[in-house]
Amino acid sequence: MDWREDYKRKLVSAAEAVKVVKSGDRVVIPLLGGVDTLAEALGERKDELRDVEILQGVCGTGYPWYQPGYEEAFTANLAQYTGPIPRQFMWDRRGDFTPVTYAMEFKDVDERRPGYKDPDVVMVKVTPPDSNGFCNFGVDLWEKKEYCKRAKIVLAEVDEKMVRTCGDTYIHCSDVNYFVDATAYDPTPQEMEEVMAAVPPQNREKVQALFDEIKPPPYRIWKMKGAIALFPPETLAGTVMGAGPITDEIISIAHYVSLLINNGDCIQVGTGNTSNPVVRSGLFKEKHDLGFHCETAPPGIPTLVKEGVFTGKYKNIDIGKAVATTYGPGIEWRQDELDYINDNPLFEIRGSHYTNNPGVIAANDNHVSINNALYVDLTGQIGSETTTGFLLYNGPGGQLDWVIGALLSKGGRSVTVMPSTAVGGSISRIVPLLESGVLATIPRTYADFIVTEHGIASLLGKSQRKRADELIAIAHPDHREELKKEAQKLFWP
Amino acid sequence: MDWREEYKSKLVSAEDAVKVVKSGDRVVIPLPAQPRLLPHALAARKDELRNVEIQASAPTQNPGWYSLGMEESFIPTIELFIAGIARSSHDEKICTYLPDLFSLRFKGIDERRPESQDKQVDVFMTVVSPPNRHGFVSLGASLWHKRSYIKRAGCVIAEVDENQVWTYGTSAVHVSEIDYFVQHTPFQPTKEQIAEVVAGVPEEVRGLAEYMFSQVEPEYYSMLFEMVPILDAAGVRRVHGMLTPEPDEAAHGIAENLKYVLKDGDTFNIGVGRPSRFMVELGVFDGFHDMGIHTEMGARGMGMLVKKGVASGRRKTLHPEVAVFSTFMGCSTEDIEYMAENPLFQQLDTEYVNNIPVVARNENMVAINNGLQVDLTGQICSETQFGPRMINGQGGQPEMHVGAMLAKGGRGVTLLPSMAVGGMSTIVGQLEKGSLVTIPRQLADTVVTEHGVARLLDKNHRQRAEELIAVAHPDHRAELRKEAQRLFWPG
Repeated sequence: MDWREDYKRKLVSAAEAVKVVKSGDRVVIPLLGGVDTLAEALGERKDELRDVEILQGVCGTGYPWYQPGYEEAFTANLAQYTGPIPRQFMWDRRGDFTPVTYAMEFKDVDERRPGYKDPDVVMVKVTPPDSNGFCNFGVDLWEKKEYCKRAKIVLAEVDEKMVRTCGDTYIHCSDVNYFVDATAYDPTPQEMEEVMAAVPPQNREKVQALFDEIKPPPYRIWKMKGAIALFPPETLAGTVMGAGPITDEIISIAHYVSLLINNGDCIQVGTGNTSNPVVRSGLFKEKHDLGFHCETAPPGIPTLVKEGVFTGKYKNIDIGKAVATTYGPGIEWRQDELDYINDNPLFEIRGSHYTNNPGVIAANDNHVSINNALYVDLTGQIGSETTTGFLLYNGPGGQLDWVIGALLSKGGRSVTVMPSTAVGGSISRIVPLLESGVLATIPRTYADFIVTEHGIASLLGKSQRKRADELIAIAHPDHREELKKEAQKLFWP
Repeated sequence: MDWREEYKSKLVSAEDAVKVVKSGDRVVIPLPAQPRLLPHALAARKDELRNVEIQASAPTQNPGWYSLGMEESFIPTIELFIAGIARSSHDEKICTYLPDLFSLRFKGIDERRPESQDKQVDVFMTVVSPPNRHGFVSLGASLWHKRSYIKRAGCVIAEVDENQVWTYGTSAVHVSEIDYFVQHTPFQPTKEQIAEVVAGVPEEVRGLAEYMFSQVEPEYYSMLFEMVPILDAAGVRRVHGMLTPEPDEAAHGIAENLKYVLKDGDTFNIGVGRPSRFMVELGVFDGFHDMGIHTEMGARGMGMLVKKGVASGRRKTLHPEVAVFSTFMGCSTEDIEYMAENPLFQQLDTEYVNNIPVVARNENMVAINNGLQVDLTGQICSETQFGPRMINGQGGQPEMHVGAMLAKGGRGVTLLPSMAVGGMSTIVGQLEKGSLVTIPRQLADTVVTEHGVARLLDKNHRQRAEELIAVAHPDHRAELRKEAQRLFWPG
């Protein structure tokens, strides 16, 4: 059958498409899926379905099952990250969480381990088919293609607004069971005003300033309008848009990180409230011939590729290509950067099972991983997930993959960035011991460089006492005395 | 120069050899077998030396620096494993701990990181056999990281022990690579001499001391012989606890359950400690034909697995038909007699054996390691239990576990007796303050207790809690269920 006919036959309404879901199914919505149309239609079926497991990555918008009243029909199970929107849902313990790394995401199913569960239905978002019948996953791939390969049924939302990208980002029409038209809505100027009107008056000015600075595409603003009204501008700028202010603290951290980066290095940067503004502050501006092999690319990288800062000349694999699994579907992106990625062979989008495989990461010499943390204890255990006690602030994501990969890379370095304090300086992020119930994302045996606004601590190959000395030296001066006392008690006779 | 002349010219007394150590130097003593004379000769120079860092792994004797009184001269640092002699010294914080990994140990030095330049090894002390006709000496049945230190150390001093065996692999070193030789074959006590020493210990632990001698391999006789008379009752108990030569009931139960995790054709690693060390002698591998060995450490009966046709290594995807060890340590005397000078067995250095990509090249790699405590999210602690006190170091567990997880068909197995001394559950709702997480939960895989197998990979928090509670000790399950309810369900 010609693909055009096939496509036409498979193009149905969302309500029709989600009829394939049965009670007891495992439905997968890969990371940053944004399949709102399908999710909403599935939510409508809450009275006829029972025990449908939704295995989902973090998403930019709210899904129906975050609301009370859906518990009987759906159990939401988040993987890798929690993110700002489902956070409250997680804190109420209505949702569950699966800690797994991207490199091992399909190990269970592929190796047919006892108790494995195949995905029944996967929901993804794609472009319309091209002249050969191939749809494209756009700037945001993660594990979508891998799930499509393994699921019994693939449902795809088709969005004409999505950009096409190069890399492993295509799926043929014949590999999808149903298509649902869901082109992102371009709001009218009047509707854009409505978005702003929903923002509490005291926040309006700050939010407008943020949009003026970043210039996200209007269709993305429209999609996120609920979150935009809900979040305080600081959260919106920091967590959602990765555009926290470039403070003195950030400039200082960026300075120290730049001392750890050489021309020709291959770079990964994690997303976070510290790393994103550090990149925006011009961390890479003075470097040249950097390589890029990353999970979530922070905004600003496409421009640096364009300016020739990232050439990928010295990479051992994917030479000359900027490799990432996603350039994010959110409002942190400027239209011009997205346009530059569109169909540009300098950008290679690959599945997270590839980008995050420590063996692949280590294949590039001088790989530098830059990731965020919430706290580090004096032994070097790094926590990026919980704040106080067992409250998941975020998941482990791919951080461990990157840390191990960087350490295995010849000349590689793993850099963890964080401000030295939290809550306006009252709490030190460098702590003597991990509190009861908090999670260690990176064990201390894999701890390497820690950077705060007060300097660089180098932990690899250091004894317990030296680690304490190194870390106390980069703690906030107000907290050093206290930490010294604690360290003395812990590590000296 | 002919190697014979060279060897002769390098033969000195222990006292002369340790004169190379200068104030501020870093001296490394590797995992056993360790030199017997050199540390004492060095300690004797305490008045003339300042700030000499002594970096040792699982030290088997205390020349004085593990007690107070020498801290001006020597800074003891423990690497990889703490073990019995140094545990109280570490508890009292006389020594510090270096959390590193076998395969990343030399990264900073080899890659010339500026901040690692003060980490160079100035003096390395080890034990070797007398030279063979080609001028090579053997590092014996216990290679570990010795070869990799010799490659990098500024000065190497070796005690020549006639009882050190020869093995295949990378355990031979040429005379020209060693700076000084000190002849010392440790004394092998006779039965009568052992009886005499045992008679001298406090009456309440005499039985225990006797039992210790009856259970350890003869290579440890001289060590025990030196230790036993100077130990008080608590010391004897502690050393005995460290040896624990007999598997307890939990180990038997764990062995039964471990069988269900293995299949023929797997390649396995046995990590340091218990209960893993008992798994071979408890028959976990019996009945298989094509198991492969790629292991950090040995265990009693492991040599015999090859001899009996259990571990043919035929299906190994790296080093097929060869059993790869970083050390034969842990194997019985009978094993080592068979393994020495036998090409079916190779000792390769830990920087290779424990290297994560190397481990991962073994398809169906099963890393069998021990845990002390696991929380309901799957965080595995193998160094601390119920708080910050370090019972042991992490050894090669993080590398072997991660490597096995990255291997096609590989599994990361954690053996965990469900109850600790005193009846507390080793499966807990949350970790106590100060716990050290050896394996983070996103890499947790298969946890085996005497009550069953918990499979954590790809499971969410609620399912993990259920899996773990099902293998917890029955007395603690109700309590854990309440805790899980509070942590992972709304309410």
